[in-house]
Amino acid sequence: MSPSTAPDADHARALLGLSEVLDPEVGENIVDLGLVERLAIDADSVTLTLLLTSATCPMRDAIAEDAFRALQRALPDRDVYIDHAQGVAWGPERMSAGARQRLGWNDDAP
Amino acid sequence: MAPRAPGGPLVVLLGLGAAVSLASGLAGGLARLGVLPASPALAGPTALHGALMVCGFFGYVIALERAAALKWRWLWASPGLALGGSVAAAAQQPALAQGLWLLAAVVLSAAYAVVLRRDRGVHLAVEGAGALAWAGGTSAWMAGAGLDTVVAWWCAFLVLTIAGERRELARFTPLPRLARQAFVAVLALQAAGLLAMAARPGPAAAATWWSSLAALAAWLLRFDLACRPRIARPGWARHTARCLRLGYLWLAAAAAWGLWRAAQDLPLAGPGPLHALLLGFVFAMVFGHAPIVLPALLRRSIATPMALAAAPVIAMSLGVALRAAGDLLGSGPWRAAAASLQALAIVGFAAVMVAGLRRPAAA
Repeated sequence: MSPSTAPDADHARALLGLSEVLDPEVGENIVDLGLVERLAIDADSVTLTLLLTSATCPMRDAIAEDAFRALQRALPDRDVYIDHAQGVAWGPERMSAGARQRLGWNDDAP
Repeated sequence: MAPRAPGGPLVVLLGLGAAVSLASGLAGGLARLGVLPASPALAGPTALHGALMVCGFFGYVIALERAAALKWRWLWASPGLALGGSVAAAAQQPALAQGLWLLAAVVLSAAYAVVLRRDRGVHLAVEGAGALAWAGGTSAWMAGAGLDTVVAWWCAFLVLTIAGERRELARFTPLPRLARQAFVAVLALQAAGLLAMAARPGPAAAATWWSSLAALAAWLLRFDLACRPRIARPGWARHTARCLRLGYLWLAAAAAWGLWRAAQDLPLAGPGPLHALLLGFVFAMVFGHAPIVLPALLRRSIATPMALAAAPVIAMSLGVALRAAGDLLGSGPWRAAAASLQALAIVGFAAVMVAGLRRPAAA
């Protein structure tokens, strides 16, 4: 299998695409915020399971649509599916180290 | 599968609903101050100006956001009922308006009850308490309770909804244990104030209620995401943060003024601090979030932040300050001028948003 079609490369391309999808008020992307619960890629499709921080957030569809377009651009030869995680609670521990640092978490403090 | 964007006709209908409610509420307020001439057509909006703004406009918009987020068909009844209430109010049918608005609040409260069964979170409980406050205030109004009681509960609907949303976003930044406990304490004080306003309205109850708003303002100015230093704010996020910080200052000012009035044994529902609260604080939240929420709800992109968007925000604050001066001095012309400036600010901001929204993105 050539490196350009290796599953890891597809996963990396998908995540890179999703890293362009921002929460408009927090200013961080959905990958760094820990909103990507699951990303499943096979030969024909990519399925993203999104985790929302609040059930009553009016941004949910807009973020899902932005993620859909980002995955279409990243993996144009796959069908894209978006669903939402059930029974999973978001917490700040899901954020990346970089996002936590930019948002004022002092994880290096003793 | 692509997430579905709302269809064009539906978007227009939803927008018209908000416009009808807002226009009725604004017209009533302007007629009260003599900016618009009294006329039979404005009799309903004039008499029910406050109810139109809280239940008709804000109730409609908040219910609409929740219906769009949760996607339960039955929940769309809430904004529909709120809009029906506005139409009834404009048609001088206050009893019908009351009933429709109460039902709207009950449906919204039921939605939060369902959400809380599966998702626990302080922020959701606070927002749900806000919906209950809407229902409580409207019930009190229907039962003939005093204006102070109704107004306190209606304002709590808006304040708690905002507080819940901000508490949710505050999770992205570090919140010390003391801050989390302080937030709960603020809410407990608000609850105590509301119960006191229902059971024994008077200066002590009003002071309790306004104290909770002062405490909330202090909490937001210290811990809210918009007030945290050294956070990158790309796109419209900087505009949002500026509006919110300005709004929190108005919340503090309104609370201080309300406490002063309570110490003088003056009614809670006096116009001064209420307008600072509703126009200075609540509308600052609207102006701050509209550039983020409108594109999301309408599934359109928005132009990059425009300096022009600051003009109506500044105009509104100038109007609130002018109105405060007019209320303190008892000046009708100053109040009227302030009302005109505030109405222009709202219309101006709506125009800036409409101009900035782009055509729907291609599929």
